[in-house]
Amino acid sequence: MLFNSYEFIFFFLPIVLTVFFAIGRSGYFATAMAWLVLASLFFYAWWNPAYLGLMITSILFNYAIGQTLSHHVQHPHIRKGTLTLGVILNLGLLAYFKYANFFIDNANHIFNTHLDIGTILLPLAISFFTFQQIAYLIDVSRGETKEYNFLHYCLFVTFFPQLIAGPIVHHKEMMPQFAKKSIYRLKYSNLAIGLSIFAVGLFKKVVLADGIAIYASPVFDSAAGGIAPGFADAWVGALSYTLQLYFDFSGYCDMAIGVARMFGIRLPLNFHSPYKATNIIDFWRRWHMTLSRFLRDYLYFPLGGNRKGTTRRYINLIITMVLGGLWHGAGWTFILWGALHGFFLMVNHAWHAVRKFLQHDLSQPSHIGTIISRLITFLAVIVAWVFFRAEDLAAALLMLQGMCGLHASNMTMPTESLSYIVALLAIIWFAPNTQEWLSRYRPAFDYPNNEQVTLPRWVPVWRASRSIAVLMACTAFISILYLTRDSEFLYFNF
Amino acid sequence: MRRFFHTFITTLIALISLTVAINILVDPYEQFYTTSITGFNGEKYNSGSRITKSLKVSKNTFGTLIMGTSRAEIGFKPEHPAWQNKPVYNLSLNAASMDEIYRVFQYTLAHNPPKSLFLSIDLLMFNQHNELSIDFEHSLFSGHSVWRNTMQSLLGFNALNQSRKTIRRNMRGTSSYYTSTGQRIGQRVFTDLIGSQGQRSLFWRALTSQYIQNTNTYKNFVYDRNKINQLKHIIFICQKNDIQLYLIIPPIHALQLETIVQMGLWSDFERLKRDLVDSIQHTTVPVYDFTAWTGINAEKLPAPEDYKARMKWYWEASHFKQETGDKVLNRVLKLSKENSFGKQLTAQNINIHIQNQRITRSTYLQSHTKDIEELWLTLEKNGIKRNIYSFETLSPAS
Repeated sequence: MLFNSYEFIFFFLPIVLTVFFAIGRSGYFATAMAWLVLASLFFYAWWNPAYLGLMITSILFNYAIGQTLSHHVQHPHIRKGTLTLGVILNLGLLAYFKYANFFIDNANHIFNTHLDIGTILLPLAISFFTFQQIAYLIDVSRGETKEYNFLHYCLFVTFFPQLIAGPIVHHKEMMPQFAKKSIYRLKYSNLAIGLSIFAVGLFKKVVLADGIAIYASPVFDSAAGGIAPGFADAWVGALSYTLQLYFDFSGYCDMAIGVARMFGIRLPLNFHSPYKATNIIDFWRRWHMTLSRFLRDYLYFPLGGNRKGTTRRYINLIITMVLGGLWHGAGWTFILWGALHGFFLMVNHAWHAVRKFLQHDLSQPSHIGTIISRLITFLAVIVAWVFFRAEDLAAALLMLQGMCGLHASNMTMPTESLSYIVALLAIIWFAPNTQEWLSRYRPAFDYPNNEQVTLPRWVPVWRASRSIAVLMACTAFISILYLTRDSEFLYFNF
Repeated sequence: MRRFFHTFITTLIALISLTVAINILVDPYEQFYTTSITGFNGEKYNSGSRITKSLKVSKNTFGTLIMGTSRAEIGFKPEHPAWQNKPVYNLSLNAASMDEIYRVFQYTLAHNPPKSLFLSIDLLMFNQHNELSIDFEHSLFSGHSVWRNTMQSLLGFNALNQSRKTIRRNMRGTSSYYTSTGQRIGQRVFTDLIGSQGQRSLFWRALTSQYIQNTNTYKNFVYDRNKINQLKHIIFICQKNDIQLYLIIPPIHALQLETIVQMGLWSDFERLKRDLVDSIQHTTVPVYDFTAWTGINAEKLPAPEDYKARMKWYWEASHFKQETGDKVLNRVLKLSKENSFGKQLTAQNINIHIQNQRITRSTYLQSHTKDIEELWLTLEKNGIKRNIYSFETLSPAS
């Protein structure tokens, strides 16, 4: 079920909330939890009930491995073996559903064979629930968390606000929150804050992201068909997609955080104005933050991180980012996108090293320096998104050639696309993000110290006033008017 | 916080209720059978939309369905006396692609299959670049559930916008362009378009903007033979389900035909005719071609300074009048024995027919030199080089 659907907004969410608090008020906390699990399974099965079995199998398997690691095995070698088995089987599942076709196609190409295993459909959310459970197994093996209760574990994996496209949460972040009795009682503050965040997210998705998408798709589709876009068209296409992806994912993250907050649960921050980043390191601290955290903690650090010298550090960066790219999709464009970001990170670290050597103070950038850094970072990110979005490498190169002015400069895209792009760029660079806007109310689990956030004067501070309530209701209303477009979130494909 | 929550919910419910009430009351898509009030919502302006037409065929059973593009939508009258299976509904869709026709046919088959189907075929339906229109995506034809469609009609931005336009136009006293049987009323549409500049001006304006300059029509046209398979499937299903099928290529003005030639698509047009004949082999489905370089199709244009003169058979090069449509129906539905207008195509006569059309073209070029010169000049102004095609430069006739 989509957050941006009539079914979710008018039926699923109100019913689940009402029943959850009705049960919670009676003191049956375990029953309320079970209700949330059931509702989450229903939410997942809405697309295709056949996928449900796979997810339940994955939950049962990982719970069993987790139990073994927590309670039954003490010998270090056996613990390590059990963990390795768990991780390999999880990755194996992901590899089969997500990468089997890709590997077979490439093998056929290289070895001139004709292996055919048919088209394997990607089960929804498999990348997310697999990574989340791998993180759980590793945390358990390190003794950082443990779980005795199967129902709790089911809720940790399936909790519907974050099930389909993250954030990728840690067991230790979520379960202590569900253990609090206070969340089972209806709190108007949670509803008010949750509804506001959800309304803003819905607006970002259905009005802004879906609105700009119509300027991105035709250009990339033409490039996929071998038609070289002109300079203006190529930039309109690339910028439109850059903005579409931003508002799509930002909108989804807001909606996930907002819905969870209605239940009194704070999800970790996943998206923090990434296009305001002044370098690529900063970008990855702001874009899909929980995935970056996963890759850092469970891949980059185990590879050695930056502890084994500069060369090894750069190699580790490239490996991490290439695998991060592959996580997004089984295709060479994703691999190249990841490699490109790995390269950007490498250059970024090298640049910092040079500046430190020259005894520059990196913590005190000038105003002009910040603007230039932000623009360069944004440009690098756009170039990488071209690979990310393009149908294949040839289409990506056609797009990039167009952006460099190597094709004709005529513009076939409507001129209103330019004003749309300018308006959205103004929002991403000059407007506060949702978390900053609601910073006084700790909108996310790990939101940094909120007292330091200063909003521009033209932004009315969110507070529980009637005028803000009317403003938020109008935002939700306009978004509901635009629900007619049947559009999934881009991150559902990853 | 409690006050915030209550204000939020109350405001949202109020706005949603108001929208739902407006859309039900105005009923722009004729979905809720709300009372029609003259000067408020009496005239409906969306009767030609895919949304409304999909609702019509989902709720009613028709004996005959007319399908095609705007040419059929304007030219063919459901009330014509020759129709055998009644009632008749004009299900033609503006700028319909073959993909849309195919899906609309499947939809009607699944819901209320007709006894006969009158399918008007245009070259542009087979353009590779044709896609489903946004209007189509929002209609029941696209496969959306009735629930979703109803929600869109109650709460969608488009529905609200159409309600606003319906009220505004009704208050101004503007008449709807559509009849309740799905036909677009040419008289109303084109009287406004002809205006004070006369019909000759409209004729050239429409041809230039819609076909010579428009990148979605002839300019980037690629004939997609895969779409013929969709047509073949329609023929197969009709035969299997005893649905009487008529296939016709509707009349277009000779200057439109010459535009097709000049823009390099005549071979595709001939290919289409051959593919149509090939598709009906071993069936009882008739195919008629009403395109020609003579007679009605070569109707003289009003003189340049004569703003009041009106053509008898055409609104402009692409759209024929209902009078012409009546003659087509008389011929196909056998109401008249006159057979000089339109040619029934068969495997036996297709080569001769194609050859004859080429010959009559050359006669037309010689007898209508002024019109042809004006067309060629218009093409040249738009960067299309004049091509005096001879028979040899076109693909062989057989």
